[in-house]
Amino acid sequence: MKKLIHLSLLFLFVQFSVAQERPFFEDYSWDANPQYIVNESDALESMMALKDKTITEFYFDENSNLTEYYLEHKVLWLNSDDKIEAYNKIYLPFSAASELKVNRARVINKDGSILELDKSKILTAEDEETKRTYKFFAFEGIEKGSFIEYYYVVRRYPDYKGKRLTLQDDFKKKDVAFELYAPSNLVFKFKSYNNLPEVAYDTVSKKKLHWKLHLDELESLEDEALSAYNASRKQLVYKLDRNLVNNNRDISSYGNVAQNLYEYYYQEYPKKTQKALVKFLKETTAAEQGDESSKVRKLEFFIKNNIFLSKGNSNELKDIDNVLSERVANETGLIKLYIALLRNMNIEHQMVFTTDRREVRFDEDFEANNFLNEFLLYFPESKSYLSPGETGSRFGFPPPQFTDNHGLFIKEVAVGDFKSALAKIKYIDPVGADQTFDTMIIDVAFDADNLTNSMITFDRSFSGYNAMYMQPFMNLINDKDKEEMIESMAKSIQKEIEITAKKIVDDNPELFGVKPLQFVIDFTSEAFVEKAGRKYLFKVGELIGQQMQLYQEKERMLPVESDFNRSYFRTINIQIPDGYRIANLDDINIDNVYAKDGEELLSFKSSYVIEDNVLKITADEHYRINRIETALYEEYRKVINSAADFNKITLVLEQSLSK
Amino acid sequence: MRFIPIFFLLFGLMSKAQYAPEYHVYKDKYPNAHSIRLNQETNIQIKLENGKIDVLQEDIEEDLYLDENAKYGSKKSLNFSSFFELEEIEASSFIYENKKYRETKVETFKEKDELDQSFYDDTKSLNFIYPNLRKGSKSKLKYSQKIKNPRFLSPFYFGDFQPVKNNKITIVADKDISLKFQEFNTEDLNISFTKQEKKGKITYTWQVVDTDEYEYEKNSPTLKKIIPHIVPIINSYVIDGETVNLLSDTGDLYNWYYSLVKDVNQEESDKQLVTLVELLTKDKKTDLEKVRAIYYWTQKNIKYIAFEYALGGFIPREANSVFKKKYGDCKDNSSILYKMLELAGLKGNLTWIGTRSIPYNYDEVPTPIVDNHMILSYMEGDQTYFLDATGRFTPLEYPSSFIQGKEALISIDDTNYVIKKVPVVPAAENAFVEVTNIAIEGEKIVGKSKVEISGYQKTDYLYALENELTDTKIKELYNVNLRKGNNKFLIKELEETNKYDYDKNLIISYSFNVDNIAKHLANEIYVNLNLNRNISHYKTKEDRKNEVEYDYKAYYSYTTTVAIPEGYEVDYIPENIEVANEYISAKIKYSQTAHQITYTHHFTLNFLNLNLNEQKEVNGLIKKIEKAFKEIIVFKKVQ
Repeated sequence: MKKLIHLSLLFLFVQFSVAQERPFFEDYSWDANPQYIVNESDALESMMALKDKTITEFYFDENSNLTEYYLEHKVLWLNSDDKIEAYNKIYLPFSAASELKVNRARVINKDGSILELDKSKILTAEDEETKRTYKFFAFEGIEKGSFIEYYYVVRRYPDYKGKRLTLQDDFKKKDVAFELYAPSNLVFKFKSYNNLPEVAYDTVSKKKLHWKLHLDELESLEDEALSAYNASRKQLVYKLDRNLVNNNRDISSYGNVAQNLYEYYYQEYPKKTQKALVKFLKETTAAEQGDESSKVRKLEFFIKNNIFLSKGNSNELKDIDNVLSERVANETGLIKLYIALLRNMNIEHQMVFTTDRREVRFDEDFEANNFLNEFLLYFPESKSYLSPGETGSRFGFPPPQFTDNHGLFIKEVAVGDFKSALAKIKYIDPVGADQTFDTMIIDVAFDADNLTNSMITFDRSFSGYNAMYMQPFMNLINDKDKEEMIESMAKSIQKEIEITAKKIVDDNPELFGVKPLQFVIDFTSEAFVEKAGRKYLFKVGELIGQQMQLYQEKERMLPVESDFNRSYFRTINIQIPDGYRIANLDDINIDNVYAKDGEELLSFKSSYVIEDNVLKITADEHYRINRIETALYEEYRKVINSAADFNKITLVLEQSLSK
Repeated sequence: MRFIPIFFLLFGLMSKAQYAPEYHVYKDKYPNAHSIRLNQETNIQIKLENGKIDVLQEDIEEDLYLDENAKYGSKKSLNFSSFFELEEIEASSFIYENKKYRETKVETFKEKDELDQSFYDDTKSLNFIYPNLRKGSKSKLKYSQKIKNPRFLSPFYFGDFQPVKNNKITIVADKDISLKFQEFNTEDLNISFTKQEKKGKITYTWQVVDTDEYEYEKNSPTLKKIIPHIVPIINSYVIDGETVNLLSDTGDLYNWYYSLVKDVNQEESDKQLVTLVELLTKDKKTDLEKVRAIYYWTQKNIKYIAFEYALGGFIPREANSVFKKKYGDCKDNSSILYKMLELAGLKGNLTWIGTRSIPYNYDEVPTPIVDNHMILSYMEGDQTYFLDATGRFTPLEYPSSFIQGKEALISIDDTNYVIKKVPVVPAAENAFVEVTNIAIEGEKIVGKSKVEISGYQKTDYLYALENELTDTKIKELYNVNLRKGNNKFLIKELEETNKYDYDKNLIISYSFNVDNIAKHLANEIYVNLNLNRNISHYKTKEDRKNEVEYDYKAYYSYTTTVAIPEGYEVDYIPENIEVANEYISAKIKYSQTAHQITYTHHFTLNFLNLNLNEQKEVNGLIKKIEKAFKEIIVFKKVQ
């Protein structure tokens, strides 16, 4: 998502009146006699990079316009069928405004033979809708153990206000390099992440500014379950910081960006547009709702149900008049629409720009546009967020990966008649576990004539993120599918059940965030009880459904990164059959907690009481933090696995001695 | 002040209740449908011009949206290629306002080179968005295309995933053009068909009204087996008093196919290819072993990449070029296999075949839509081997699973061909046979297993294993696939034998634990030996509407021996059970010796497809086995 790119106008660059050097790529080539060697110790790897080089140059062209030459050069050793299939087709990143200056590709086989790909074999595909162009090709002659090598140079619209480059992959790399050249007046800044060494200034280079980073070897990083893998890879960010000619500083700072964004999204509307906005607003009925949150909720409900979100990138999709008349928009168009309508209702709000924390965490200490990828609206009165572009998200529950992260908040301030933007980096608090729960109340009785048959009332309600993929869309589901949905809710616990009654409560999509979505299902089943001689084994744990079991045989490397905080509340009421007792009640008790500063952050606790021959079991589970450092992984695992342990609890019903 | 909200409420209701009368009619009639196709018309003109057949097809689609899903139907995409050339297109939305429909025309159509189907082809899509679609809106689309080759007439379907009000097909053909119409699944459909001749033209029309929506279900066979449709075929045409056959029978189709392949591989073979074939075959004692060596080399070394530009989708590339590039599609693979066999002094036969996604045979539909794949056949005595090198790990004796039971059109020479049926591999040859020894230790069981996997089951494992690059990931894969009892199952030691071997069975030996699985109480231990219950996956839903289809037949066998815990004796052993019908058979058996109990569970899945009745029979039988799954062994402390 690039909402910003063409907003940040290229302000005029003044260059020194010195003769320009040739761009670096004109003298760049690959080795005419390549000798790539894989060490004995790496012979079992399925692939490896022998070279991974990125060089970018910012350059004043013949018309003194700043342009960028971007080069990637890779040598990959492919040592498995799977990896050959994954890498034998290459798609180059490209846009309609770019120009491919150089593109060479070759295969070097084990016997040293070299097959260079003919230029005619580079294919082009276009997509008018997204305005994307693809250049792609297939390597010819790859065998197991071949090296593929390619490099290309693209001349493109300069991307200098913050660009992220990930160097680490799930395979080992050698000869890893990043270099940046700039005209002598343009000073760049760099920052490395996840223990990648810093990019260094090359003092030898005279006529151009030059920075570089070189690593002889970069170890692979394996993906792990429940981790933010991409955000954990070694990567760097670069941005233009100063122009020495006019002594312009902090060029990529958020102050400038915020003002540009503000001016783009907060325009005055012509009369015709204003009229159409009022008409649209009336149709939404948002303004007629009670409090601010109800108004926003209504507005969002209407827009998300009536405006088609297109991935296209044409001007009509961003044009508010067109959005209003055609009801088709891209994300930019939607943001404009929300802002216009909120302004019409005088609802105080702020724009928030942030990142998806699975991809990269917002860095509050390094201002660069690559951290402004995702958009939210913030409502100070309710301290809630709304995501215009995510169809699956609702007010109060923004995409959770955008929260628990810093963000750039831009708010409108007025001094007299003069309005402008005020930007501040703040933390986007995640939604608390108390707002996202999964509650089960299960009543169990046994058929007196056949104790293997249990009669169960299963009442389960979902709120917050747990309900968000269902409740807001209930209007899109027909009655037949709704029936099936309720059934599958019970059948996810156990397939072998006979449903006798079922209902769904509060399935009005507009109740999301107001009331939980509830399913109540009565069923009978013989699947929970097994007979062992004169005793009955009741698999009570299975009533909560299968639970994730985490193993860790290898040392955990990455922190756990959960999507959202959440709680599970489970109550199971079991009518103990007359003449029977439960022989192993103690098995029910589980208590695993991770607490910090007296606050229970992760917990699973189950216990029981018996009243009037009813065994009442509670099993509650809470996850109140999203990020769990690697050192605490065992604590997390213990809590997660407690639920899997509970799931295995089997109660033994035996005849009471008293009878 | 209290009046105001009520007034708003009424106003809100009134402004919302704006739907056309027809909306209410269809909403009542189809309460579960998201939309209805009011009209679907296809008009095809087939003309003879300058000795050539010209085909022009026009399609009209008109939809009415019945709920809020309307918005999601906004984006539309149509595919064209060098065989189907777009002529004209217009599209509009209709919004019902103030008691009438207001039309908005779609102004922008955007072209896109489609890359989804093959690496490179000439398919282009035309994309557009219907503006303003909402509940009660309508959309209308009209487009025409030139069908550049008269062999490529498309089938027309009577039915959709939405109800269809009116469905009409008209074909107007010069009377010198002889047509055939092959019907599928139309038995229960009321089609009104007319044929009229007028001024040298014959007009055929088919009309069907009020078809209900079809439901998509998982594991369904191809829709061509479900939805009623008609395949139009141009048999022949008369020109200057002479009849020219186009697709009157399989022979015509074969002649055309042959004309596309006859010039391939006429050039001299690449020296390296010659050397390679020599190297591969020099120690091989029999012809079949030579074929095997060549076939496996091709599977391993020629990667699948498809270029399908124009007739490139039908003409195999030169073996030399495939050899150099080390990639190709099914035709290219067949071409290099053909050449390599020839270099080894053997004869392979180019073979056209439809995968199981196409339910037609050549006799019924002798047109290019009958097949979609090319392989190489090798015949020896009565045996035919079907070589499909597009995948990996396919043994010579197995066809690829997706052509089992299908007709193969095997080229013999310029005029001769033979049609053979590809066999369906018996269940016993796709086997999973596991032998396990376990001991009870407290609440857990510890054990050792050895499993031998063959046929398509093995192929599935090998493909899955290729993706797992580290020991941890490989173990994770087995932890899931070999799971016993519950998800506390954990593999400890692991040894793989014959991994990635094409002919030998994959053998996995491993030790494992399963926690929380045995129950101790006072002087008794309970344990359920039904540690694998995957037969249950083959039970289908009671209210299923369609046939189910599986990739292959399969056999499973589990033998588990449990040591009787020290100081205990066997108190209870469940009864044995054995059930069988034509499609499935299963048994569970317990036997006891002084120190151990041996449990065996086998089942055979002897089907690829099951119709609704067959599903009922299979389900009933599985239920009996599931009942037996609940049986527990009880050990009792020796007093």
